[in-house]
Amino acid sequence: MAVKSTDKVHVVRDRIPTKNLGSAVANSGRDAVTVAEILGTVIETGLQSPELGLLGPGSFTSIDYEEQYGSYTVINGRVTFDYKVVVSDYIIGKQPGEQLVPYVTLPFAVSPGGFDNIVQPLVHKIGQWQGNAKLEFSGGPGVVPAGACWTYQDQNNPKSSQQLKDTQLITPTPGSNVETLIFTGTVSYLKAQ
Amino acid sequence: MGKKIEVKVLENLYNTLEVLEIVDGKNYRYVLTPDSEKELEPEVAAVAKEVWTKEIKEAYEEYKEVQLQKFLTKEETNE
Repeated sequence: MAVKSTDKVHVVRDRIPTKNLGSAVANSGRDAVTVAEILGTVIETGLQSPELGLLGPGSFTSIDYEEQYGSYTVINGRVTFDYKVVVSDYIIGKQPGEQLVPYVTLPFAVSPGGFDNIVQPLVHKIGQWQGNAKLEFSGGPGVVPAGACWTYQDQNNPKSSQQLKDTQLITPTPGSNVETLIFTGTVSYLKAQ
Repeated sequence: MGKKIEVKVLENLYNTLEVLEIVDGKNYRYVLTPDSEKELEPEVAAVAKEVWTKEIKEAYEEYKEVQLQKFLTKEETNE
């Protein structure tokens, strides 16, 4: 039978539960500790609705999310975050010549230098030409306190990465040649203290 | 069941805010930086107003610019 970290362990001496379970809980008055306490691990789980952000001189003027899902697990300060973001429509405002780096927001701030790994970052569909505007997503791995950039990949051009190109305003509309954007991935990093 | 909100200030990271919302026994956590434009919960806005000073906001904008240049330089190197 598998033992969960949250399972409680009772200590019995001469068939009498004892409250003396070691220094960690000696003064707690409890008669049981969790497996996690014995192992010294701290585990936290939860949900976060990830968003897309843009690093640089520009921003989403508007963005419509079709789906935002994020689930995280923290073990001893190391965060593993699974996310899925589906964007159905967006407007980006920026000046000609400026470049932007998109990122997905994270549930915890990243410790400076604590970036560890991005596993399976995928952009399933990307925006295509819209007039003279082109939206493509840039690669990392990289991170800012609130988010992680990722590597853009597609079948035709694997592991390439480009930035937003020259345009003042990108306004994809339903029915145009712009696809729905779908981002999924797993990020692992050390959280800031 | 009501919503419980906890706010943690990361003072060494441009006063980044970690917000934990506990709703129906589930934890929902997110991070806010001094350039956050989203509408904040009243409890969070009160903390943000105190810790996101003009100096902090300016410093964070400079930090973002440096990070952006790092990314772009990395891209050029990769290409």
